Amino acid sequence: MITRDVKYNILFKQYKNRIFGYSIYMLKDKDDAEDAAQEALIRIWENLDKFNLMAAKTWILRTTHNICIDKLRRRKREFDNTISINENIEETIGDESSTNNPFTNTYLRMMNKKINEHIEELPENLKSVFVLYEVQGFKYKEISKILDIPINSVKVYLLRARKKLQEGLREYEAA
Amino acid sequence: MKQHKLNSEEIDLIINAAYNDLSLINKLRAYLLINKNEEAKRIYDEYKETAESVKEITQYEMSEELEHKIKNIIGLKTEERRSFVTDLYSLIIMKPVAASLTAVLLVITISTSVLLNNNRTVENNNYSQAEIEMAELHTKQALEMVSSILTNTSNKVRKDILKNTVSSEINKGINIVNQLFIEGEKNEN
Repeated sequence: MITRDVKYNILFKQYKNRIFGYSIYMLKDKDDAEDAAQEALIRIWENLDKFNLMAAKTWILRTTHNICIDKLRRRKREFDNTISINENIEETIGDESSTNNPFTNTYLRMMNKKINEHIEELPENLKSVFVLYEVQGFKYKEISKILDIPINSVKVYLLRARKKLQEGLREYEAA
Repeated sequence: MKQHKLNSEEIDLIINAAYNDLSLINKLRAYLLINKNEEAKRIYDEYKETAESVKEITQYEMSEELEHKIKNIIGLKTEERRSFVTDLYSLIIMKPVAASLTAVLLVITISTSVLLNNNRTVENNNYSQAEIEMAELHTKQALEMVSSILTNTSNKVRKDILKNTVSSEINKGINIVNQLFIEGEKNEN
C-alpha cells in the first residue's frame, strides 16, 4: 500500500524544480522564490488528501502561481519600486545541459542568462503564460486551468510575450 | 518581384512558425509565405533564433538545503527507498495517458489471447462421440504397432545381435587371450 509519505515524496521529487523555477521567474528574487516554493510544497502536504493526484500538476502550479501573485501584491504594497534581478539566481541554474566543451558551456550560460533576464522583465500576465508554456512545457489547456483564463487568452498572451521578448532582445542588441 | 506588405495575422503566423507552434495547415501557409516574402523570411529567422535559445533554457534547481528544510518542517523522513510499486505509481501519476494506453494494450492483449484460447477449446469439443471413439481406436492401433516394433527390435537385439554377433566375437577375443597366456607360460618354462 502506498503511504501518504511516499505519495508526497513522488510529487515533491517531480515538482520541486518546477515550483522553484516558476517562482524565480515570477518573483525575480531567489530568497522570495525559496519562500514561495516552501509555502507551495507545505500546502501540497497539507492538501494531499484533498486533491486528485491525477490532476496534481495543475493544482500544484495553480497554488504556486497564487502564492507568487500574493507575494507580488504584498511587495507592491510594501515598496513601490521595481526590484532588480537577484544576481544569486545564476547559481541555481542546473547543469543538465552542460557539455565538456568550455566554449559551448560559456555560450549556453550567456544565452541562458540573457534570455532569462528578458523573460523576467515581461509583464506578469505574459510572463506566467510564457514560462509555463515555453520553459515548463505545459499545454494550452493546462495553462488555462492553472491561470483560470480561457484558452484563447493563453494563445494571445503567449504571442504577445513572444513579441515583447523579441522587442527586448532587439533593444538589447541595439544598445 | 513586387512583394506585398505583411498584415498582422501573417506576422503572427510567422512568429508561431518560428516557435514551431502551428497546426499542419498553418505550417504550410507559413512555409509558403516565408519562401515567397523576404520580410517574412527575415522575421522568421529573427524569431527562430530566439525560440531556439528559449528551448535551450535550463531548469532552475531547488537546493538540497531547502529540500531538507521543507521536509523537516513537515516532519517527513528523507526519501524512502524506491520500490517497483512506487515507481509504477509515479509513472501513473506523472504520465497518465501513457500509463492508460499501456494498461489498455495489456488488457486487449490478454483478452485476445484468452478469447483465442477459448475458441480453440470450443473447436476441440465439437467432435462427435463416434469420432472420438474412432480416434481412440486409431491411437490404440498406432501404439500397438509401435509396441510390436519395439518388442521385435528388443528380441532381435537380445537373441541375434547380442548372442550371435557380439558374444561370439567376445568369446573369440577371450580365447585368443587365453591362448596367449598358455603360450607365454610354455616359453617361460
